[in-house]
Amino acid sequence: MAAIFNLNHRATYLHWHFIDLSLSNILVIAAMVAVFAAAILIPFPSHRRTGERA
Amino acid sequence: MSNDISPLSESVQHPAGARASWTLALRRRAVAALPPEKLLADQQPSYVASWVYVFGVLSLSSLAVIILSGTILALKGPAWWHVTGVGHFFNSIHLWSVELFFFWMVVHLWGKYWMAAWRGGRKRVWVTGAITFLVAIPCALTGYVSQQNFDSQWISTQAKDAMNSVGIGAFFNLLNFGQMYSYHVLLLPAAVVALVVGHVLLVRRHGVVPPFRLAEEIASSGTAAQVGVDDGTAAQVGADAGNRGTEA
Repeated sequence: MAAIFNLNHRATYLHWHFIDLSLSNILVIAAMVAVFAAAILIPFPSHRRTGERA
Repeated sequence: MSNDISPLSESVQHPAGARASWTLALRRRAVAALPPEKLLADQQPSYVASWVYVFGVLSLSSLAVIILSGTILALKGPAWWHVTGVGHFFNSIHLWSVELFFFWMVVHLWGKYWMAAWRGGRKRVWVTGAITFLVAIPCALTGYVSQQNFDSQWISTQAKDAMNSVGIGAFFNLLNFGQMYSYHVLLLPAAVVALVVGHVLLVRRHGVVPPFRLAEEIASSGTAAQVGVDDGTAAQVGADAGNRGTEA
Protein backbone atom coordinates (compact mmCIF):
# COMPACT_ATOMS: atom_id res chain seq x y z
CA MET A 1 0.00 0.00 0.00
CA ALA A 2 2.88 2.31 0.80
CA ALA A 3 3.96 1.99 -2.83
CA ILE A 4 0.59 3.35 -3.95
CA PHE A 5 -0.15 5.93 -1.26
CA ASN A 6 2.20 8.34 0.47
CA LEU A 7 1.97 7.29 4.10
CA ASN A 8 4.74 9.56 5.40
CA HIS A 9 2.43 11.96 7.14
CA ARG A 10 0.03 12.00 10.04
CA ALA A 11 -3.37 10.47 9.43
CA THR A 12 -6.17 12.86 8.53
CA TYR A 13 -8.94 12.92 11.13
CA LEU A 14 -12.37 14.47 10.79
CA HIS A 15 -14.06 15.90 13.88
CA TRP A 16 -17.73 16.58 14.40
CA HIS A 17 -18.76 17.19 18.00
CA PHE A 18 -17.73 14.04 19.87
CA ILE A 19 -17.28 12.03 16.66
CA ASP A 20 -13.62 11.60 15.72
CA LEU A 21 -12.95 9.42 12.68
CA SER A 22 -9.93 8.92 10.49
CA LEU A 23 -10.44 9.65 6.80
CA SER A 24 -9.52 6.06 5.93
CA ASN A 25 -12.20 4.68 8.25
CA ILE A 26 -14.77 7.08 6.78
CA LEU A 27 -13.87 5.87 3.29
CA VAL A 28 -14.33 2.23 4.35
CA ILE A 29 -17.72 3.02 5.92
CA ALA A 30 -18.75 4.87 2.74
CA ALA A 31 -17.68 1.87 0.68
CA MET A 32 -19.80 -0.44 2.85
CA VAL A 33 -22.84 1.81 2.43
CA ALA A 34 -22.25 1.94 -1.33
CA VAL A 35 -21.94 -1.85 -1.58
CA PHE A 36 -25.10 -2.30 0.51
CA ALA A 37 -27.06 0.11 -1.68
CA ALA A 38 -25.74 -1.54 -4.84
CA ALA A 39 -26.75 -4.98 -3.54
CA ILE A 40 -30.33 -3.77 -3.15
CA LEU A 41 -30.56 -1.82 -6.38
CA ILE A 42 -28.66 -4.00 -8.86
CA PRO A 43 -30.70 -6.96 -10.14
CA PHE A 44 -29.24 -10.40 -9.53
CA PRO A 45 -28.35 -12.29 -12.73
CA SER A 46 -30.85 -15.11 -13.02
CA HIS A 47 -30.52 -18.26 -15.03
CA ARG A 48 -33.34 -20.24 -16.52
CA ARG A 49 -33.54 -23.96 -16.22
CA THR A 50 -33.35 -26.09 -19.31
CA GLY A 51 -36.61 -25.89 -21.25
CA GLU A 52 -38.07 -23.16 -19.05
CA ARG A 53 -39.69 -20.13 -20.66
CA ALA A 54 -39.75 -16.61 -19.33
CA MET B 1 -42.73 -29.33 7.34
CA SER B 2 -42.69 -32.98 8.16
CA ASN B 3 -39.51 -34.95 8.49
CA ASP B 4 -40.92 -38.13 7.05
CA ILE B 5 -38.12 -38.54 4.52
CA SER B 6 -35.41 -40.22 6.49
CA PRO B 7 -31.98 -40.83 4.99
CA LEU B 8 -31.55 -43.88 7.15
CA SER B 9 -33.37 -47.10 6.59
CA GLU B 10 -35.57 -48.39 9.37
CA SER B 11 -33.19 -51.26 10.00
CA VAL B 12 -30.32 -48.84 10.45
CA GLN B 13 -32.31 -46.53 12.72
CA HIS B 14 -33.64 -49.37 14.81
CA PRO B 15 -31.22 -52.26 14.44
CA ALA B 16 -32.55 -55.52 15.76
CA GLY B 17 -31.52 -56.06 19.35
CA ALA B 18 -30.01 -52.60 19.64
CA ARG B 19 -30.00 -51.16 23.13
CA ALA B 20 -30.74 -47.56 23.85
CA SER B 21 -27.53 -45.61 23.72
CA TRP B 22 -26.51 -41.98 23.68
CA THR B 23 -25.13 -42.31 20.15
CA LEU B 24 -28.47 -43.62 18.90
CA ALA B 25 -30.39 -40.90 20.71
CA LEU B 26 -28.01 -38.22 19.44
CA ARG B 27 -28.24 -39.51 15.89
CA ARG B 28 -32.04 -39.54 15.98
CA ARG B 29 -32.13 -36.00 17.32
CA ALA B 30 -29.58 -34.77 14.80
CA VAL B 31 -31.34 -36.32 11.80
CA ALA B 32 -34.73 -35.09 13.02
CA ALA B 33 -33.42 -31.56 13.53
CA LEU B 34 -31.42 -31.38 10.34
CA PRO B 35 -32.27 -34.02 7.74
CA PRO B 36 -29.77 -34.28 4.85
CA GLU B 37 -32.14 -32.63 2.35
CA LYS B 38 -32.01 -29.52 4.56
CA LEU B 39 -28.35 -29.81 5.51
CA LEU B 40 -27.21 -30.04 1.90
CA ALA B 41 -30.14 -28.51 0.04
CA ASP B 42 -29.86 -28.40 -3.76
CA GLN B 43 -32.37 -25.57 -4.14
CA GLN B 44 -33.10 -22.29 -2.43
CA PRO B 45 -36.24 -20.15 -2.55
CA SER B 46 -36.53 -17.75 -5.49
CA TYR B 47 -36.16 -14.69 -3.24
CA VAL B 48 -32.59 -15.74 -2.46
CA ALA B 49 -31.69 -14.58 -5.98
CA SER B 50 -30.59 -11.18 -4.72
CA TRP B 51 -27.17 -9.66 -4.07
CA VAL B 52 -28.24 -8.97 -0.47
CA TYR B 53 -28.03 -12.70 0.22
CA VAL B 54 -24.42 -13.13 -0.91
CA PHE B 55 -22.66 -11.33 1.94
CA GLY B 56 -22.87 -14.25 4.34
CA VAL B 57 -21.08 -16.49 1.86
CA LEU B 58 -18.52 -13.75 1.19
CA SER B 59 -17.87 -13.58 4.94
CA LEU B 60 -17.41 -17.35 5.02
CA SER B 61 -15.00 -17.20 2.07
CA SER B 62 -12.95 -14.52 3.80
CA LEU B 63 -12.87 -16.61 6.97
CA ALA B 64 -11.55 -19.59 5.00
CA VAL B 65 -8.71 -17.43 3.60
CA ILE B 66 -8.00 -16.11 7.10
CA ILE B 67 -7.70 -19.63 8.52
CA LEU B 68 -5.50 -20.86 5.65
CA SER B 69 -3.14 -17.87 5.63
CA GLY B 70 -3.02 -17.81 9.43
CA THR B 71 -2.07 -21.48 9.51
CA ILE B 72 0.85 -20.79 7.17
CA LEU B 73 1.96 -17.80 9.27
CA ALA B 74 1.79 -19.91 12.45
CA LEU B 75 3.89 -22.63 10.83
CA LYS B 76 6.64 -20.25 9.67
CA GLY B 77 6.79 -17.67 12.49
CA PRO B 78 7.53 -13.91 12.83
CA ALA B 79 11.08 -14.02 11.43
CA TRP B 80 9.62 -15.37 8.18
CA TRP B 81 6.61 -13.06 7.86
CA HIS B 82 8.71 -9.94 8.63
CA VAL B 83 11.77 -10.68 6.50
CA THR B 84 10.98 -12.75 3.41
CA GLY B 85 9.00 -11.68 0.37
CA VAL B 86 6.71 -14.71 0.54
CA GLY B 87 6.24 -14.03 4.25
CA HIS B 88 5.21 -10.46 3.50
CA PHE B 89 2.76 -11.78 0.92
CA PHE B 90 1.04 -14.16 3.32
CA ASN B 91 1.11 -11.55 6.07
CA SER B 92 -0.71 -9.17 3.74
CA ILE B 93 -3.15 -11.87 2.62
CA HIS B 94 -3.97 -12.52 6.27
CA LEU B 95 -4.46 -8.81 7.02
CA TRP B 96 -6.61 -8.02 4.00
CA SER B 97 -8.76 -11.14 4.36
CA VAL B 98 -9.50 -9.97 7.93
CA GLU B 99 -10.38 -6.51 6.60
CA LEU B 100 -12.72 -8.09 4.05
CA PHE B 101 -14.18 -10.45 6.67
CA PHE B 102 -15.27 -7.49 8.75
CA PHE B 103 -16.38 -5.54 5.67
CA TRP B 104 -18.68 -8.36 4.49
CA MET B 105 -19.86 -9.13 8.03
CA VAL B 106 -20.96 -5.52 8.56
CA VAL B 107 -22.87 -5.41 5.26
CA HIS B 108 -24.36 -8.87 6.05
CA LEU B 109 -25.40 -7.54 9.47
CA TRP B 110 -27.05 -4.47 7.93
CA GLY B 111 -28.96 -6.61 5.43
CA LYS B 112 -30.20 -9.02 8.07
CA TYR B 113 -31.09 -6.22 10.48
CA TRP B 114 -33.26 -4.39 7.97
CA MET B 115 -35.04 -7.58 6.93
CA ALA B 116 -35.51 -8.56 10.64
CA ALA B 117 -33.81 -11.89 10.12
CA TRP B 118 -34.89 -13.10 13.55
CA ARG B 119 -38.45 -13.62 12.29
CA GLY B 120 -40.00 -17.08 11.99
CA GLY B 121 -38.19 -18.76 14.86
CA ARG B 122 -34.76 -17.57 13.76
CA LYS B 123 -33.73 -15.88 17.01
CA ARG B 124 -30.79 -18.22 17.53
CA VAL B 125 -29.61 -17.59 13.97
CA TRP B 126 -29.51 -13.86 14.69
CA VAL B 127 -27.92 -14.28 18.12
CA THR B 128 -25.15 -16.61 16.93
CA GLY B 129 -24.35 -14.19 14.10
CA ALA B 130 -24.22 -11.21 16.46
CA ILE B 131 -22.01 -13.06 18.97
CA THR B 132 -19.70 -14.16 16.15
CA PHE B 133 -19.23 -10.52 15.19
CA LEU B 134 -18.45 -9.58 18.81
CA VAL B 135 -15.99 -12.47 19.30
CA ALA B 136 -14.27 -11.65 16.00
CA ILE B 137 -13.32 -8.19 17.32
CA PRO B 138 -10.93 -9.42 20.09
CA CYS B 139 -9.75 -12.07 17.65
CA ALA B 140 -8.58 -9.29 15.31
CA LEU B 141 -7.22 -7.19 18.18
CA THR B 142 -5.04 -10.05 19.46
CA GLY B 143 -3.79 -10.46 15.90
CA TYR B 144 -2.76 -6.83 15.65
CA VAL B 145 -0.79 -7.13 18.92
CA SER B 146 0.84 -10.41 17.81
CA GLN B 147 2.64 -8.92 14.83
CA GLN B 148 5.94 -8.51 16.70
CA ASN B 149 6.72 -5.02 15.42
CA PHE B 150 6.46 -1.37 16.53
CA ASP B 151 2.88 -1.24 15.31
CA SER B 152 1.86 -4.06 17.65
CA GLN B 153 3.70 -2.37 20.55
CA TRP B 154 1.82 0.85 19.94
CA ILE B 155 -1.57 -0.90 19.64
CA SER B 156 -1.00 -3.05 22.73
CA THR B 157 -0.02 -0.13 24.96
CA GLN B 158 -2.95 1.96 23.75
CA ALA B 159 -5.47 -0.87 24.03
CA LYS B 160 -4.11 -1.87 27.45
CA ASP B 161 -5.58 1.34 28.85
CA ALA B 162 -8.96 0.43 27.38
CA MET B 163 -8.82 -3.02 28.99
CA ASN B 164 -7.82 -1.52 32.35
CA SER B 165 -10.63 1.02 32.15
CA VAL B 166 -13.23 -1.76 31.99
CA GLY B 167 -11.50 -3.86 34.64
CA ILE B 168 -10.31 -6.84 32.60
CA GLY B 169 -6.68 -5.85 32.12
CA ALA B 170 -5.49 -8.19 34.89
CA PHE B 171 -6.48 -11.39 33.08
CA PHE B 172 -6.51 -10.14 29.48
CA ASN B 173 -3.09 -8.54 29.35
CA LEU B 174 -2.32 -7.01 25.97
CA LEU B 175 1.35 -6.59 26.94
CA ASN B 176 1.68 -10.35 27.47
CA PHE B 177 2.65 -11.59 24.02
CA GLY B 178 2.37 -15.30 24.91
CA GLN B 179 -1.16 -14.86 26.18
CA MET B 180 -2.24 -12.74 23.22
CA TYR B 181 -0.71 -15.15 20.70
CA SER B 182 -2.47 -18.11 22.35
CA TYR B 183 -5.76 -16.24 22.26
CA HIS B 184 -5.18 -15.31 18.62
CA VAL B 185 -4.14 -18.66 17.15
CA LEU B 186 -6.28 -21.00 19.24
CA LEU B 187 -8.94 -19.81 21.67
CA LEU B 188 -10.65 -17.02 19.74
CA PRO B 189 -10.42 -18.60 16.24
CA ALA B 190 -11.86 -21.81 17.69
CA ALA B 191 -14.71 -19.80 19.18
CA VAL B 192 -15.34 -17.93 15.91
CA VAL B 193 -15.29 -21.13 13.83
CA ALA B 194 -17.58 -22.95 16.30
CA LEU B 195 -20.03 -20.05 16.26
CA VAL B 196 -19.95 -19.84 12.46
CA VAL B 197 -20.58 -23.59 12.13
CA GLY B 198 -23.51 -23.30 14.54
CA HIS B 199 -24.80 -20.24 12.68
CA VAL B 200 -24.68 -21.97 9.29
CA LEU B 201 -26.34 -25.13 10.65
CA LEU B 202 -29.13 -22.99 12.12
CA VAL B 203 -29.55 -21.22 8.78
CA ARG B 204 -29.80 -24.62 7.11
CA ARG B 205 -32.35 -25.77 9.67
CA HIS B 206 -34.61 -22.73 9.62
CA GLY B 207 -34.05 -21.64 6.03
CA VAL B 208 -33.13 -18.21 4.74
CA VAL B 209 -35.45 -15.51 6.05
CA PRO B 210 -38.01 -14.43 3.41
CA PRO B 211 -38.54 -10.76 2.50
CA PHE B 212 -41.29 -8.94 4.42
CA ARG B 213 -43.74 -8.69 1.52
CA LEU B 214 -43.44 -12.35 0.56
CA ALA B 215 -43.93 -13.45 4.16
CA GLU B 216 -47.05 -11.25 4.43
CA GLU B 217 -48.45 -12.55 1.13
CA ILE B 218 -47.95 -16.12 2.23
CA ALA B 219 -49.53 -15.44 5.61
CA SER B 220 -52.55 -13.68 4.04
CA SER B 221 -53.04 -16.50 1.58
CA GLY B 222 -53.47 -18.87 4.49
CA THR B 223 -50.70 -21.21 3.47
CA ALA B 224 -48.20 -20.18 6.10
CA ALA B 225 -48.41 -23.48 7.92
CA GLN B 226 -47.77 -25.34 4.68
CA VAL B 227 -44.87 -23.27 3.51
CA GLY B 228 -43.25 -23.12 6.88
CA VAL B 229 -42.89 -19.41 7.48
CA ASP B 230 -44.14 -19.70 11.03
CA ASP B 231 -42.44 -22.91 11.93
CA GLY B 232 -39.13 -21.65 10.68
CA THR B 233 -38.62 -23.84 7.64
CA ALA B 234 -38.75 -21.20 4.94
CA ALA B 235 -36.32 -23.15 2.78
CA GLN B 236 -39.41 -24.58 1.12
CA VAL B 237 -41.25 -21.26 0.77
CA GLY B 238 -40.30 -20.61 -2.83
CA ALA B 239 -41.25 -24.00 -4.16
CA ASP B 240 -44.38 -24.53 -2.06
CA ALA B 241 -45.80 -21.06 -2.68
CA GLY B 242 -45.49 -21.51 -6.40
CA ASN B 243 -42.33 -19.51 -6.81
CA ARG B 244 -39.57 -20.93 -8.91
CA GLY B 245 -36.79 -22.24 -6.75
CA THR B 246 -33.21 -21.23 -7.30
CA GLU B 247 -30.49 -23.78 -7.42
CA ALA B 248 -28.17 -23.48 -4.46
